[in-house]
Amino acid sequence: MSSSRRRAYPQPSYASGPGNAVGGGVPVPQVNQFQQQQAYNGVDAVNRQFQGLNVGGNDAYAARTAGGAQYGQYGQYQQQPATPGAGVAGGVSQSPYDQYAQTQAAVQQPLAQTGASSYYLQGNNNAAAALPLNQLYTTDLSRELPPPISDLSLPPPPLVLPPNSTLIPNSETANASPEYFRSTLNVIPTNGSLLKKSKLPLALVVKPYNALKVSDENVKVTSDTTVSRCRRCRGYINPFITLAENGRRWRCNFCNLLNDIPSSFEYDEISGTIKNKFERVELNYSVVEFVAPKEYMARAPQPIVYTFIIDVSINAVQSGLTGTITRTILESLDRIPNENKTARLAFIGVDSNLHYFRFNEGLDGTEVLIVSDIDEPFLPSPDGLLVNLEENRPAIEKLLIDFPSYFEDTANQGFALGPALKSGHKMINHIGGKLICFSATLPNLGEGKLSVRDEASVSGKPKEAKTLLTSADSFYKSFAVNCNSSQITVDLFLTSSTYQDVATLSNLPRYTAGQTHFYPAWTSAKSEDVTKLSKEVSDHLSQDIALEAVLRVRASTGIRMSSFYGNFFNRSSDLCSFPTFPRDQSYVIEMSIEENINKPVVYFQAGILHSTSFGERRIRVINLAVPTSAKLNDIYASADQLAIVNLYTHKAIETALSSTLPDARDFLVSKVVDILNVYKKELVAGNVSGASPLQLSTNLRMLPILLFSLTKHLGFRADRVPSDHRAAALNNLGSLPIPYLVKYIYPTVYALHNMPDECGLPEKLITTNEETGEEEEVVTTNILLPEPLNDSKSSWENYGLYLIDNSSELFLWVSGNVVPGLVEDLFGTDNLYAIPTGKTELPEFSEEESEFNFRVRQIIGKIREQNDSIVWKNLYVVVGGSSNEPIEISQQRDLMALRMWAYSCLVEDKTGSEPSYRDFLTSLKTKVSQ
Amino acid sequence: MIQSTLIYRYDALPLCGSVDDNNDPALVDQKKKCKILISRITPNSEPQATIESGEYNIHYLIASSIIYICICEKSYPRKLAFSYLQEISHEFQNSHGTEALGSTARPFGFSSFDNFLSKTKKIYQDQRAQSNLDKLNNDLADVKKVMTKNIEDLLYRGDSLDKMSDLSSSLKSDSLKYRRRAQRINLEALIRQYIPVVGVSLIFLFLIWYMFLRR
Repeated sequence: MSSSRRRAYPQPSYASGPGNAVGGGVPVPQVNQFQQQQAYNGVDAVNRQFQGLNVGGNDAYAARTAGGAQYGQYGQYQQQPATPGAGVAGGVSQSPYDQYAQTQAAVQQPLAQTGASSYYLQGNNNAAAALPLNQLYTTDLSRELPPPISDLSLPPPPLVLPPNSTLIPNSETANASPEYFRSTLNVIPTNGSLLKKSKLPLALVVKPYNALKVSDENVKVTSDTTVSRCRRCRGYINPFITLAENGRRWRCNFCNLLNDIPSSFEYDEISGTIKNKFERVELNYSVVEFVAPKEYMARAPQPIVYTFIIDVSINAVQSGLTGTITRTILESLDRIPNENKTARLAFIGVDSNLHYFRFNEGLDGTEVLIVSDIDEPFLPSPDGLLVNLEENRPAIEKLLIDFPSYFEDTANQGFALGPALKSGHKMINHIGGKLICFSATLPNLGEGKLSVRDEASVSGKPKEAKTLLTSADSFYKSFAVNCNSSQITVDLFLTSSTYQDVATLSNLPRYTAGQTHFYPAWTSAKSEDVTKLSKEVSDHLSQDIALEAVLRVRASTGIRMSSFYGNFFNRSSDLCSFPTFPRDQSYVIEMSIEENINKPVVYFQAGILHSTSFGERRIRVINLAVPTSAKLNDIYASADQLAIVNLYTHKAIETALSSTLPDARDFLVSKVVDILNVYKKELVAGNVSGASPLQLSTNLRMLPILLFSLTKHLGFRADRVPSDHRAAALNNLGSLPIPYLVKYIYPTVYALHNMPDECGLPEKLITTNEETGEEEEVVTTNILLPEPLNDSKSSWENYGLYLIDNSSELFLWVSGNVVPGLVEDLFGTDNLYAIPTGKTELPEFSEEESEFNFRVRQIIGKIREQNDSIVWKNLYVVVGGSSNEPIEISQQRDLMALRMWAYSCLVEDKTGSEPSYRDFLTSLKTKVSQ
Repeated sequence: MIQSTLIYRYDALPLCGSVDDNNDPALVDQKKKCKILISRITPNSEPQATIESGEYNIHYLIASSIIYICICEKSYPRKLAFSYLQEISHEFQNSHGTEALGSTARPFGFSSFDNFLSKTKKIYQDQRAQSNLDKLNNDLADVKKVMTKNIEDLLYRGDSLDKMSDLSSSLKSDSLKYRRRAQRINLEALIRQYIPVVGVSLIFLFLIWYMFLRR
């Protein structure tokens, strides 16, 4: 075994069993053959094995050694895995690493005399090799054109763990899936200087929830309220702990402290039965929920509270916002999570006055109370404003039906958002909950009054970010921090057709774990607008949110959480506070390595203490184990490009807001250059001087295109962008989960004119019937999508039909020279220029009338359907240019703008002043060669 | 006015807590005291009692292994408070009684009962409401029997016993120390008493020896 191997897997400090003391070396790692042959079939097998070991041990020393080996994953085995198949009997080694193995054999020889250690020995000779981590493959970026976009949907490089690193051998469920928890590096460097040298970032991406509804997610819940935690580091018991002292205690995998196994793991006091601790969900699954005992409750779990702050000024009434929102709320009342019948609602209408609605609890009828003192807002009634949904259902329904008629003839242009927020806060601060604001007007009265900022003079200049994207009024941030401490979340739905200062307002959701939803130029006159807003609001209200939540991420000794990104408030050094926990956002935590790590595996654990929407206090714990290495090529071979992009997105946003937009773009490019430089210097084989400078490991080959596309994204591009759109885009970039973020940066394009016949129809799987051996066709409900194309015009035909999905809109691009038959099939008319363009929906034909139309609509439906996001994508139909199009068409400014917009999704091409990806690679070449 | 209501099981498992209108730190403090109170309740405790605590009165009622507590302002009539506790105990017993005593009960697992609490609380809110006056007038719930105690006595009774035993044990060790010291002092006094006599007699002996044996 080479010395570098040994350094990579050094002897762990805690594995100092008697065997080590005698051997004076690293014990040969091995998989117990016995165990390998016999698939793990329940705890009994393990127990039997353990008993066998103990019974045979008449020699105290041997028994101790065997004991040390047995407990929970055999502490030492875990350190180094075996290469299977090299097993030899009797302590003679045939392994390629003979010298080392022979030493080991000699050490083990005395043990061979005792029957107790026979299992141990057998396994021991199962020759040791270092963990076969992911192999490094090099790709030349300049030869891989166009970039292979199928990589974007690949899972991250696999986490290679020693086979017995889990308590339950070969457990498939012990390590978190990348949907919940992923690391930018799936092999962690063993020290900080190596991390620095690699120029790769170390961060975790946490997405604690993967569906909007509890029922769509299959997370195991503990059966009782026992929460076993390490006494020192407060880590929760998890599948990676090891057992000690006959299974009476467990060793914390974060800090190595021995802790007692709670008696309820073995024995059920109430029913008096003996339980099998290996069956407990927290030892088997990486994502579990503990039911918290009363010690975890500062107060009784509070009911879910929604306070609707609705704009009733002339802008909102005329654009139809007030009417649409009240109708949407009315239709969503049944979807609000209300299992306990304790949900409470309140309504406040805002123009230059505050309109409160007082319910006569349990009785019919509401009173409107108008407060015009907006300097010192007060609650006009001590009760009846915030009422139980279930008990006042008829009155609430009646109010929502009548609501728009109260304000029909308003001419009030004022919008006192600040005072409304303050009084909403006053109304619910003793409980906490959500303040949901619907606004179509720039707040122009009272505290938090905003004014239109001068965009024209700074747009496109370096000081754009400072003047337009920062908060204009400190009220919003300080109010948000206030809200956070009284467990209140603010959500915004902004629909103004004019400037609304999204940059300032978005501070409210950012620090209260809410979300800003922006609908530019929204009007109820367009049915597509109404569909989008009401679908999103309705889904937003139906989310099974968690209440009064805190998130803390722990890591093995030596790793420290350094910065936190996402929508929440960082209450103390590493405690993130969420008044309510949304189910459609993800969070990034950057880490630093403080001490040398001398363990082969490091562990991460996210714990979220929360109350469920049905009033149970729970802790969701997510575990991740990642191997370590001291070699740069291991680290590069296991880097996760999508997680890296997620972190750099957050860092670029931070740079843009604290410095300038050009700085943010430079930051992204410099990161690509740094990584390419390190790769060229350290990892390219032979370091041939003539080799292309643009070589990168295959698993990172999409990183340059993604970071490059990010510099062209709406949030960062150098062209002039209305600051509201930019702020909303930055806000989305900072909260989207990875799959949506990647699509947002690098849109997905499908070619529909030449898709295979099975696309757009339910997927058919051919399975073989086990009994008869005949092949059967099973029709699933899953609609098959065509293969995506590259975001480049060069892959397009001038007669094609393309669908672009950028994770917030869908564009259906009908090329200028398209076959008339296709237009006829899709739109029911043969005139290309007669089809409705812009925000619209396709006409609906049944499968018999037009199969093509049906399949296209099925594909669009499939793309829109998602159970972990509330976003509803609008469809924009765009007719492409052609040489023979009528002159009046090519002069339509709307259509031109639409084409430009759709083109801007093709990030590999040259758009406006931005270079194409090929140009970018060329410029990289000169930068890297320097 | 009833400020807060708590329902606990005998083994101190919280079953339900009311959602309160104010977050007054004084009230939060009272709730903490209630938690200690619960842990001190034994099967021999009074089945119902009023405990004076600062600005508030804590009334509790134990019915079939479930403890119902309400925190009221001092001025709130005791009769009304106990009639309120009676009412919620009946309702809780009927709707969740067996479930709450089962082994599967989770902390605050009956938060839906809060709806009933808040409704009932509202009825009892107004002391002058006709039905409440009736309740005050009839002697159905004869609260005169109910014991009144001070929270300080209750909470710190255990503490003072501990303090007593501490005191006595330190007294014991102190007395031992004093005894040893007294013995030493006695010895010193003895020495001091006899030193002159011994000295004088020695000089006398020397003189005799000098005078008689020189010759």
